[in-house]
Amino acid sequence: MHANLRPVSVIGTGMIKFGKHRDLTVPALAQPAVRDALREAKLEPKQIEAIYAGTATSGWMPGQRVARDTGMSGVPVVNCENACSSSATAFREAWVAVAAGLYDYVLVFGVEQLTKLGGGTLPLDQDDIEVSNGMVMPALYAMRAQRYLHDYGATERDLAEVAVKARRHGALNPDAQFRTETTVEEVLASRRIADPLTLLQCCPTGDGAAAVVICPTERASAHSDRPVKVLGSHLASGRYIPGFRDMTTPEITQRCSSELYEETGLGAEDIDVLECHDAFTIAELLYYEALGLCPRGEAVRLLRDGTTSLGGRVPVNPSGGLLSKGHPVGASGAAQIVEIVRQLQGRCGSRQVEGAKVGLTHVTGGGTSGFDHGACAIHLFGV
Amino acid sequence: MPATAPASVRNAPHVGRALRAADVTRAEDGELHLSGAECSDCGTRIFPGAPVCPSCNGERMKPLPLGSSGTLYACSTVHVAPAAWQVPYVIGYVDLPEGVRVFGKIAGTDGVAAGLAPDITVRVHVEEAAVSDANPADASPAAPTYHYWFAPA
Repeated sequence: MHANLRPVSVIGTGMIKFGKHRDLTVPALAQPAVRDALREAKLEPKQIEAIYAGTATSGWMPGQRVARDTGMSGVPVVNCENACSSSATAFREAWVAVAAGLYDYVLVFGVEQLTKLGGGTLPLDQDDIEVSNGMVMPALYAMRAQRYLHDYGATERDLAEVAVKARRHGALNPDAQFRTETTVEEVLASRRIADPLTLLQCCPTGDGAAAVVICPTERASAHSDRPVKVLGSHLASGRYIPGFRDMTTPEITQRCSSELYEETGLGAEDIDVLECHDAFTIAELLYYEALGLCPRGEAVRLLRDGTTSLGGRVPVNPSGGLLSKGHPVGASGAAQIVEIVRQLQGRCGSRQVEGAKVGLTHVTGGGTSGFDHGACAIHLFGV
Repeated sequence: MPATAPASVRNAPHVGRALRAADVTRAEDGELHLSGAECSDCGTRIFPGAPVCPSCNGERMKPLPLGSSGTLYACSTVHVAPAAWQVPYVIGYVDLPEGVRVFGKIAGTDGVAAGLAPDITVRVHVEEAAVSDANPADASPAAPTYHYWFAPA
């Protein structure tokens, strides 16, 4: 697959601690992550040949505003909006450009400042028939949860266990928004958001930024002792399915991952560590199945037996995931890549997945009627 | 006599988006029903209707009257929503016999307490919107608008 493309590697990473940063501007949020990524890649700003920025709600030209303040103005800037997949989409476009030989050194970053929206549920498109009848993102996932529990005999305690795991992992991540552990009882007793989902089963409102620098693999060793290869990149968009569809099958994730596995010759069994789009507890369970970690209906078993916890066969969301690390939507895809790259470099301290050689990032996004989701980007990395 | 939307449904600036006249039809018994569209070329059925088929891009869409009862696929009681909505409220997906899944509000303020669960039978209620209920962006005095909601059968 892609015989004409050059191998590409990640040589620099940076991110800020996710949380509520109301007093900062969007460029100020992004700058520290961008500077860290450049420093790690041993690059001066003037060596960056193009910038790909991902954000959903940061207004016009976010990439140029960051470039202006970091010594990189003037180079081509592409701003990507793909809901929660924005910066993963930016990463993919950057990968395409470097792999095709257009540029050698490219910066990708994602940034979002959700606190400026005032908290609560994300604002959706009011022209959408479902949104105008009361749909909000937590309710979409809540209905998937209700149906999954109904179809497969899982319980609300099983859902809560996903949040408990996320917070256990997040407690080990200095960049996570939540760094305290929780219990099933505490999760179930937290405020009702959209039944059966309670507050601690929903990703928090927060701000953040993450950045990576990529280059052709043949140049990577000059910039990093431990460069990480991009083994595959795939982007899919929602397929409109009118009528009855199984809403506990994340169609876009299933399609995107199976196409990526086919392209790369890798499979779920090859993955040592992954970050997935756990915006709500039910999502993580559905994605175990959609990404091929287990057959349909068996996600709870994987969670219960510890397979997906740190120390298990394939730890999922060692960073704490969107539930604990936080989900500043446009920053999340890039932040997942930062985590997986650092995991493969063995830099993750107490949350390190020992001996990890292959890692995956998965992010979806967008609530629009008739779609599973609007966008999905999945990447595979390896050392 | 058409039912009047209960308070739990009428709790927003507009009771969901007001439907156009083309989205409803009056059956022989005088009851209002939802009306979707079916593609004459590929058979795709949708609600609300559209002039172009989303599956094949064909333009030969014909009206598809929809039944007044269906099966609940899933539902949720919403406790946090944008300020315009009065919480809690209940929403859900209902599968109609014509093969169309319709999303909408469900009467009541606590689906769990009301025993709402997947696969129960629910009824579709349609009524003409009073002008004050209609979404100002959609309504005009000359064209009546409609809204719909679900309730356990």
